[in-house]
Amino acid sequence: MELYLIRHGESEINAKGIHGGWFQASLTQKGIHEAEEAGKRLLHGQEFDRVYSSDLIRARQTAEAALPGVTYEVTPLLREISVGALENRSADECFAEYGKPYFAHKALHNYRPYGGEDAGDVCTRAAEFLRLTESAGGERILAFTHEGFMRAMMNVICGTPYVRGLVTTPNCAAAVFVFRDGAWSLLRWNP
Amino acid sequence: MELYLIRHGESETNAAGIHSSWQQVSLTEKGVEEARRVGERLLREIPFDKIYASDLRRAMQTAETALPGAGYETTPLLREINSGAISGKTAEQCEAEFGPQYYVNKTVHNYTPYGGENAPEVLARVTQFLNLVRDSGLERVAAFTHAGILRAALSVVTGMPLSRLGVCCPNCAVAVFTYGEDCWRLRQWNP
Repeated sequence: MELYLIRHGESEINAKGIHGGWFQASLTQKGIHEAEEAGKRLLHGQEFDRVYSSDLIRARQTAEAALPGVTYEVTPLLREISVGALENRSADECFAEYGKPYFAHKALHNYRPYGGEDAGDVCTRAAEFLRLTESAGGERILAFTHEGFMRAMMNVICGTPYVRGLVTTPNCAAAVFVFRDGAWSLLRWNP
Repeated sequence: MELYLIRHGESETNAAGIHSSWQQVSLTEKGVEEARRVGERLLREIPFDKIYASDLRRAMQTAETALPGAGYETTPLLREINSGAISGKTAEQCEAEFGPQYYVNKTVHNYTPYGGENAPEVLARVTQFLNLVRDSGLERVAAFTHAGILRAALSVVTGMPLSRLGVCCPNCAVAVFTYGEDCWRLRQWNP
């Protein structure tokens, strides 16, 4: 079994360089184009038994631009890490309101003080999605998701620390994981 | 700067399911073909400033086949992890001689019980190579090496544990690392 994770294309949030979280930002024109290109380069010619997407709009738009007409299932399991009250706000604005502790929380990806999630929460979701994938079966599964979720999957499968993981995850980056001999492993990153 | 680490093609010992370690084994015909293909598909268009190779024959042959005529410098820093007394033996032979603890040690690359290297030693050796490349001032470097070294580099850069689990490293796998803003990042794994 193979699991493909694709990060959404550039969103309005990415373009502004502000916190996204569960905010419903749309793709920019550039993001739509990135999704179309990713679809052609990585996904066309591949057969997927099941396609999933995070229910956040930027992931859904990516799915629809990458694979026009595709039937897919949405799940909140695939969402980005929630940043709670920091949603749709810049770092400057957050620092102005919360002061120095904000930088430490951000560095540790701990958004619980703001009503959001922390690294453990996202990794729990990633593990749950992995179990869901295993029990649903199929040879090749595709899921449109977010950077934080992909980072969490690297933690669950490879043991990469969520807060440290120095792994480049551009818009429309892809990760391919393979389930073999009872265990998951990373096959490709950003091919 | 960019660093490309390339695992050698299939060796005679890979094909026979034997631990290769520091033995001077050659590529099989399949290994030669794999090396030719990775050169053609990925490496030949890239303007490398410098090419390194482990001084073990299988890595040197891969360099010569993937990038014919390019010229390279060998270094023992890039050698595979030394597995000591299990070198030249199959898994079955090792289990018979050393007991089932062999499987645990092999998984986490702890070869100290067999007179070989262990994880901290390999990580130190690979860190030394990464520092050398970082300090060279070059833009783009290729290094033909071994699975243990690719995994160790991944471990040093991302913080994941050094283990056979969690990451696939087929023959002629390529790992691309970038150095910028004072740190290394993984950009691609096995594209």
